[in-house]
Amino acid sequence: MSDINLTTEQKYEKKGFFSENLVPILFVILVLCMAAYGIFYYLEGSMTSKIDNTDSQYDSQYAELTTGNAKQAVDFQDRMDTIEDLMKTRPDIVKGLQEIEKRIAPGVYLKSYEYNAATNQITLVCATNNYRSVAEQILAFKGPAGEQSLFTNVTSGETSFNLQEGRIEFKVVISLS
Amino acid sequence: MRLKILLAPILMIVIIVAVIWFVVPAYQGMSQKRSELKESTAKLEDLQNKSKTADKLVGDLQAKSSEQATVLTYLPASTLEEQIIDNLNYIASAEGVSIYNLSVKTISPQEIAAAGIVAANKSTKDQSLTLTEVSYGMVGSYDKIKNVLQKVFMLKRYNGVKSISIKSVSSPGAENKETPSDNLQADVKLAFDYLEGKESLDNLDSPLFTTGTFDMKAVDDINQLTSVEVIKITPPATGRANPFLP
Repeated sequence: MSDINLTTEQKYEKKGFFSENLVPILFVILVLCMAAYGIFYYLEGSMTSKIDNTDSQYDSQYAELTTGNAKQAVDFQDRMDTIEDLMKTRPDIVKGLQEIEKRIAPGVYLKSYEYNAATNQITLVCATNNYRSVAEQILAFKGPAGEQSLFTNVTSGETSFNLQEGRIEFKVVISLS
Repeated sequence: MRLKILLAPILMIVIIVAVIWFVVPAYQGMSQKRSELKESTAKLEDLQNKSKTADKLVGDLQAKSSEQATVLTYLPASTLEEQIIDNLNYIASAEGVSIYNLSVKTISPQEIAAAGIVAANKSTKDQSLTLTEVSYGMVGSYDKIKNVLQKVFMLKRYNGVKSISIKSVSSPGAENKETPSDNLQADVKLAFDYLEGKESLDNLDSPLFTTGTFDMKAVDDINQLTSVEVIKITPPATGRANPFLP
């Protein structure tokens, strides 16, 4: 007869706290998860409404600011900034004329003067009696080498003889700084 | 008994699913909204600061009414053709120079863009700067023409020379053609630009809202570099039964 052990004595009597209370702990965790979800969901909704409120406040204040008195202040400053820009690039024609007055050589006079802002150049037609004066005048407009001047570049060389007046006419193109 | 055994793993799975599908997305959504709220609040605060700065600037502007008038006279918000004609005529008359063929033509920025014209001295900063081309001729001596040009340059209203042509004219009936005369004819083309006023602000990016003070250098420049006052024309007494009679 074989020996059959029919004892009902439990082999693992000492169970740990965790294994014994696993199910209640998991229930608690589940409840906490649900609570966290609820809180997060509520906070998200609350923040969304706050954002909407802030955005609508922003929109109304922005519209008020852009169409209200602030535009006068910005317009005033923009106008002043534009004036400064315009003044910097404004050519002083009289200065150019005064410079020509200073550099005109004896025996030479102007027949015509033309200024063009697009090219910032003066085109002169001068008249004189002899070619020596033509050369002297071109040199006078060019000025001494290395001189800081209103005239940055002077080109010439084209001459013609006016039979009616008996004079040599020559063109000078002056680039301004 | 079986149910009791299965309950723990089922609960674990439910918890994991709940955390992954509900709790974490809800937390992320909340975090995102929190940062959005922070951003919106910062934007609103910035706007409120700009609003306060704007109120201060408007107050300052009211105290600077004479400077504002100087600026608006120098760069007006419309052509003011009558002012241009009256002032050019006054300057020429005062110098004893006769002017002719005076014309004022406004060219809008759209026309400039369409024609591909590059306006002389045109600021690229503001697109609403409108070019007003003024052309006229004058006859007089060199000194007088030079004085007119100088006075126009010193006028307390912006103008820039686009082109000038000066040539000597022989007097009618002059016998000796070889003698150059001091009677000159000048054809002048000027740009009397103006800047249209703003109906509303496109944005609030102006550095003015950050600094909170006006940069008044332009007013100093106008006062230092120009000296000829702009004549303000007043409307005449009007009304006649037959407008065709002089």
